[in-house]
Amino acid sequence: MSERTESLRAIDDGDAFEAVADKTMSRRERYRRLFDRWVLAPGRIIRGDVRARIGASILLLYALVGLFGPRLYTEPEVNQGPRSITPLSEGLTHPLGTDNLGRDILAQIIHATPSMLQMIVAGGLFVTVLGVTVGTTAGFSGGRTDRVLSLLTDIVMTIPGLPLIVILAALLEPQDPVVTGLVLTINVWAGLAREIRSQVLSISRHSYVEASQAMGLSTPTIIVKDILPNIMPYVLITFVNAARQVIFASIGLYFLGVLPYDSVVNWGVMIDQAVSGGAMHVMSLAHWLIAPLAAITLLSFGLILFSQGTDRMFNPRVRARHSSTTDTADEPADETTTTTGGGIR
Amino acid sequence: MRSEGMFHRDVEASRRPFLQLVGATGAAALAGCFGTDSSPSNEEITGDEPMTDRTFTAPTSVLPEDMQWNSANDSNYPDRPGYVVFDRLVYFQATTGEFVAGALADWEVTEDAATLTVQDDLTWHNGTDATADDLVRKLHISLYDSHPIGNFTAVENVTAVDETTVEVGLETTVSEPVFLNSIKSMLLDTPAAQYDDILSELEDDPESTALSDFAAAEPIGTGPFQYERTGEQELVTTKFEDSHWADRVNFAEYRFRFIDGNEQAWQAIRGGSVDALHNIFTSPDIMGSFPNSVLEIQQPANWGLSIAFDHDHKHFGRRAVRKAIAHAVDREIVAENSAGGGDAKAPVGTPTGIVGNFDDSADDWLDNPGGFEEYAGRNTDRAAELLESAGFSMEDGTWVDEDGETLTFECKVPAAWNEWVDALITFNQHLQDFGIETNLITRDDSVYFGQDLYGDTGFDAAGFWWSDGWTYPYHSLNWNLNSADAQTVYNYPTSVDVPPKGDPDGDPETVELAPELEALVGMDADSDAARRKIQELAWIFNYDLPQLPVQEKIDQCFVSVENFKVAENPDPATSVQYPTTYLPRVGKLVAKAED
Repeated sequence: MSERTESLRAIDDGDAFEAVADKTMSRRERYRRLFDRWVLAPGRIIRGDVRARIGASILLLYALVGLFGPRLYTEPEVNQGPRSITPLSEGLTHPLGTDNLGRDILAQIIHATPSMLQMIVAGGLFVTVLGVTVGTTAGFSGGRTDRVLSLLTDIVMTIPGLPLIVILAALLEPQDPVVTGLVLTINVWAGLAREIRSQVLSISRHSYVEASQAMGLSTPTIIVKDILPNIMPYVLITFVNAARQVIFASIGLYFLGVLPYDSVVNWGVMIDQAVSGGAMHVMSLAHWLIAPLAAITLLSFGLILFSQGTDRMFNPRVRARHSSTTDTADEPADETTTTTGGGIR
Repeated sequence: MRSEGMFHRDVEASRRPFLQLVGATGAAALAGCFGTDSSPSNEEITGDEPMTDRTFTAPTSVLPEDMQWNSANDSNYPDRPGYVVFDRLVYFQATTGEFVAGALADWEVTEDAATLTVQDDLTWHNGTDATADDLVRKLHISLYDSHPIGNFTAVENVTAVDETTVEVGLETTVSEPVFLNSIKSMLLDTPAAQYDDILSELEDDPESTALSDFAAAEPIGTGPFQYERTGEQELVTTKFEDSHWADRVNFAEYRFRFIDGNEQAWQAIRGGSVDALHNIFTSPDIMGSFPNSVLEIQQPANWGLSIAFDHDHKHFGRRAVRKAIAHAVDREIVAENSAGGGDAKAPVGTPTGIVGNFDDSADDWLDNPGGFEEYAGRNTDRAAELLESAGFSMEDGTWVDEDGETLTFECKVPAAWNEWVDALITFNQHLQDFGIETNLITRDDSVYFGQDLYGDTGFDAAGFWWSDGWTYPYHSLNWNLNSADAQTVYNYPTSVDVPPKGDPDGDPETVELAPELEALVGMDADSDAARRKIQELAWIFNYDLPQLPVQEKIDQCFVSVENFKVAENPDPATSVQYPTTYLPRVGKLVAKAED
C-alpha cells in the first residue's frame, strides 16, 4: 500500500490529526538537539563569521569586566593618585591616568560597567519583548485586537521621545540602572511594534502559516514556531539598536545633568565632568574624555558587529546551510552536512 | 566571502589617506590650540596713556537682542554690561575692607541719619545732570521694591537736602559698615526720563507691578560707557565723554559678545575673540591652555560652599553628629579638589561664620582664635568619640544609632555646579572612609533650589552657602544664625543652648539669637562692644555648627594684555567686583598705544 493511500485512510478514519511520528526522540536526543540548535550552531556561526567573532569577543569582554572587574580592580576613590595624570605616566599604577579628583580612570570605567550593562539589557529587553509581543499579536490576530493595539502604538509613537524621557527622568529621578533603562526606552517599543506588525501581516498570509491554522495549532504556538523565526533577525537588530539607544540616551542625559547620579560612577557622568573640567580644550586632560568615549564606542561597535554577524543565526534562508552534528532523518543532507532545521521548512 | 573581504580592504585602502589628511589637519589645529606662544606681557600703567580707538571686548551671557535694562526686572537684564553703563553708589575693595567712591563722592552714617553726597560732576548719558533728586528716586524705588535698607529706614525719611546731598533718616541705629554693605550693590540706574512715572505709580499704589514689568529697551546711565547699539551677537557701548570717569578711560569702545557657557568662554579668550572674562572658575589645567598674554586677577568673593544640615533631621538635629562630621572631613582637601588643585578656593580655617579665609583675616576678629574648636579634619578619633558619646556605635564598619539605625544620608548638590559636585564627592568620600554612609544626589538646578532648598522636598544635607557675600561679620553671622533662610532652608532654631564663650565644659545657657544680632547691628563697628558681640556669636556658630562652612570662593577674572595694560594683584582696586568693569573707571585697565 502506498503512503498516500494510508494517509487517505487515516483521514477517512477521522484520526488524521492524531497521527504521531513513527519515531520518537529519546530525552537525550532531544537535549542534544536543543544544545545543537541553541549553542553549537550559533557558536559555529560566530566562529565562521569574522564580524560575529569580533562582536562576540567585545561583548564577552564587557560581560567579564562587568562581572568580575569590580572585584578585581580597585574602587575609584578621590585622591587615590595625583590629579590629572596622563596614561602610563606612573607606569601601571594608573594605566589610563586619573581625573581632576585624582580618581583612577580605568577604575571608573570598570566600576561603571555593571550598571551600564544592566541599563542596556533592561532597555533592550523591554523594547524587544514589548515591541514583539504587541506587534505580532496585533499583526496575527487582526480585528479588534489589532485596532486597539495599533491605536495604542500610534499614540505612543506620536509622543515626542526626548522631551518625554526628560520629563520622566525629572519626575522619577531613576537611580536604579534597570529603571533608568526602562525610562530611556519608554516609547521606543512602539516603532518596533508597528514594523513587526506589518511584517507579521505579510508572513501570516503564507501557506505554511495557514496550514498551521488549519491544523488547529494555538495562536501562541504559531507565533513562536512560524512567525518569530522569520522576524528574529529584525528583532535582534532592534534589540541592538535599543541597547545603543540606551547607551547614547543615558550618556546624553547624564551629560546634560537631567538624570540624577549618585556616588557610583557612570560613563556619561565621566564625560560630563571631563568636558566641564576642560578636557575638550586641554591636551593633557584628553585622556579623561577619551577613555569613557572609547568604552562607549567599543561597546556600541561590538553590539553592531554581533548583530550583523548573527543575522545568519536566525535568518531561515541562510540558516539552512549551517552545519550540524545532529542527524535528522526528516531533513535533506548534502555531502558533508545535515541541516539543523532551525527555521521554517 | 572573498569579494566582501576585498571590498573591505579597498575601502580601508581608500580611507587611509583620508585619515592621514585628517590627522595632519587635526595636529595642525591642535598645535594652534596647545602650542607655545610669544605673547606680549603686561606693561606698567603710567597714567598718561593717550586716547586710542581700541575696543575692549568681554562676554555677556544675555543675548544682546533680548537685553532689557531695568535691574528690578530679572528677565534678560545684562548684569555685567550693567556694571559698565551704570555706576554703583559705592565700590568695595575686598582686600582692604574699604568702601570707595562710586556715584557717591562721600557718606557719613550717624546714630539717626546717613548723609550721602552725590558726585558733583555726574551726568546721565542723555545729557542731564545726575543730582540728589536722582539718588532719592533710586532709594525710594528700592524701598518700594523691598530692598534691605528698608530694615533701617522708610520712604518718607529719604530726602534731598541740596543739589548733591541726600539725608536718610534711620529708624534704628545701624553701623556704617552694615549700612554701606546694604547699599554696595545698588546702581544709580533710575533716570527721571524712564522712572519718574513708575515712582509715581508706586507712590499711588505700593503694590503696583509697574517697576518689575518695566523693560527699558536702552539704558540711560552715568557710567563711563554709553549704549550705542546691539547686534545679534554683540552689544556696543562707546566712551561717554561727559562721564565723571572719562579722564581715565583711554579706549573708544567696550563691547559685549554673547557667550554662553564656560567652555565657550575659555575658547573665546584662548582664541582672542574677547579681551577678558569677568568672573569664571578656571582650573590650573585650563589656565595652562591660555596664551601667556592672559593674566589672572583674583578677588575674594566673600562667600563659599557650606554643608547645610536639616536641623529637624533625627541625626543632624544632634550637635554631636554635626561636630563629628566637621572633624571627619578634611576641608583643605575638599577645597583643593574643588579648585582642581589650584588656589581659587580657600578652605575655611576655624569655622566661626566670619569671612576672610583667603588671607586668614577672619581670625583678626577673634582675641583668642585658639580658644575656638578648629575641626582640623580627618580627626577620626575625636569624631568617633563624639558619636559614641551621643549613643552611636560602629557595626561592620558603619555607624549606627542607639536604635540600630544606620547613620546614613543623602547629600544633594546642583548638577551643573561642577566645583560643588567635586567638593561634595570628596566630602562624601571622607565620610564614607569614617563609616558614615552617604550618597551624593545631583539635582537639576531648578529642582534643587525650587524644591529641595526652598520647597517642600527638603534634604538631609545639601550644598549651600555660608555667607551672603558681605564682609562685616554681622551679615554672615546673621545669615547663618538668624536669617529667614536659616530658619526655612535648614530649620535652624531661634534659640540655642551653648556653654559660655571659651569654656566648652561650662553650663549651657539658652541664647535667643535675634536679640543678639539686633544688638550687634546698631553697634559702632570699631567699638569693643561690637568686637565682643561678634566673638560671642562666632562662639555660638563654632560650638553649634548651624552649617559646616567648607570653603571660601575666590573669583577669577582674566584679562588679555595683548592690547591692554591692567593692574595686577595685590593692587586693592583689583579686588573690586568686577575688575573688568571697575578698573577702566580708575585708569587701571587702559589700552596700549596703537601701532
